Amino acid sequence: MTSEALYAAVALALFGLGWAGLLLKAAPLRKLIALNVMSLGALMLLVAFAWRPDAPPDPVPHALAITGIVVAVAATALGLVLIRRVRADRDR
Amino acid sequence: MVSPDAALAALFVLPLTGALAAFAAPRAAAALAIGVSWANAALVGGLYGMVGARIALGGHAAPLGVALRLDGLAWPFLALAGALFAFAASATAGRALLAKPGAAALWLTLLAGLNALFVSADAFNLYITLEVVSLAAVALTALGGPAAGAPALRYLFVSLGGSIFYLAGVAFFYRATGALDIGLIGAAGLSGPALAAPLALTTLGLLLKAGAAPFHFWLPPAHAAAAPAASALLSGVVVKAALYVLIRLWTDAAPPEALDAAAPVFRVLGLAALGVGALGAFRATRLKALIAFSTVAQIGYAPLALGFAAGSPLAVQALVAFMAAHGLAKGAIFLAADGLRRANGHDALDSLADPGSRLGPTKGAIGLGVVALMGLPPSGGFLAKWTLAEAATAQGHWWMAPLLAGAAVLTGVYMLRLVSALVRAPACADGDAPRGWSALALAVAAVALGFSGPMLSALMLAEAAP
Repeated sequence: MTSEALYAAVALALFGLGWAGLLLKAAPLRKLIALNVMSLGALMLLVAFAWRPDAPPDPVPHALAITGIVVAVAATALGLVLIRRVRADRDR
Repeated sequence: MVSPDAALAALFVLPLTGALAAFAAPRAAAALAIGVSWANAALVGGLYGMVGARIALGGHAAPLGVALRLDGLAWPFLALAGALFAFAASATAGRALLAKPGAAALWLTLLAGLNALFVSADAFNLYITLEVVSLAAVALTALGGPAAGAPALRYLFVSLGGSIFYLAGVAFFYRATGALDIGLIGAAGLSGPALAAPLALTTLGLLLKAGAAPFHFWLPPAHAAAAPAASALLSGVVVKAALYVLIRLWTDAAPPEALDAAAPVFRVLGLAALGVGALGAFRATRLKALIAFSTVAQIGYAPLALGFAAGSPLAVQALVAFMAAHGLAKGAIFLAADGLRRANGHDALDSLADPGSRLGPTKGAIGLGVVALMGLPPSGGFLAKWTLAEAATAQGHWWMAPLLAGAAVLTGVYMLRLVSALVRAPACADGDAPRGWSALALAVAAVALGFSGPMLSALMLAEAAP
């Protein structure tokens, strides 16, 4: 098994795990964490695909993964704010 | 003469600068959002003469650089967003929303994201713009009040989940082709699993984000809970952004044979959406829920038309006409519904009453909007249905014409629940309700779109040129 295949398989497993969590977990905070796991899976897929047999890794997918992380951080922040707001509205 | 580089860059530099300024100067934010929305509409109007332009940002060409492309498919979507943002901002509902803290900055960020999305020629850049659009749209939804928090959160989960599916698909595209530019991906001539895997992942993600049945469950609560002007944008153009990327991928990145193979699936998805949306609209008890379920139904026309688009530019043209007609009509109806709700003091469908003659423009907007949604001649909806029937019949699917006529009757029946309110005994006369000129302008545009057939054909031909 090449290291690319190994990393890609782990990435897809993370992706699937996150997707299952997003579908099956009811608590919003758990859903948000599941979403982050899923997002990590997709980003790790990019990192795995940067692998080249006889050359240093392709930098383009690395750049995409970093950009994706930034997006995920912003989205998580918005999710956390919304979760707090929903809770505050419910408790009122 | 402005260079295409500057004009295309202005599509997102203008609203983004506006968003920053609105954030920095909250007092002037609402006026700024209205002004920038109109300036953007004028800019898009001027860009009509530049259709066919393709630029490499900063002089860095693909494959490494990010290309922007203004073609015949992009311009109608830019124009739809331009018109909706301008009229919705000016409407009373728009000014009420923009007066809330943060709303103007989100409004302009959403516009910047949409504009950038429509001119992006790069699969990863499309991911980024999809995310900008989602985050701004979710935040804008949450401004709808205490009841909007939970639907907005669900919208966020679905939309982000969809984006991640799309991103995984992009990763597979890059793995197979070493390219991110949609045209270069298409030129690589993928086939077999190397094509099927990324197409399946991106399509699933985009259908989730578009709220296409069977992934529509999140849409009606979110679109019904948002502030009226935000609902007009969400239903009118935000769901279309995901559908636009879907069209792009299937027409530019995938070969016609792949679309031909997937066509039956798309047709079934389209018909399912028409049925599910209509059913929800029949059962809705609130005005805004009815309108939101009508969006679920109308989104179905996109996969349906895509099911006939393999090697058929005519079906793509029909799809664009559907999106534009629905966007304008739905924007008009959401804004008009706000007038109706203000005049009545509630929005329970069973007891809505005629808001009186002062709200003539509002009533006109609802009437014309329903005409366009049903697809009666001479509206934009009719043009779309006629074009789709023509494309389908040419491929031997004669059943499309009667089916589209049946769908029009179905739309008419559930929309009658709204229209009948206008002919009930006048009950209320609230002097504060807006008269609804912005809604009427959008509805007139939705009907006038019916005369844009030659223009749309010309735009599609412009796209075919290299």
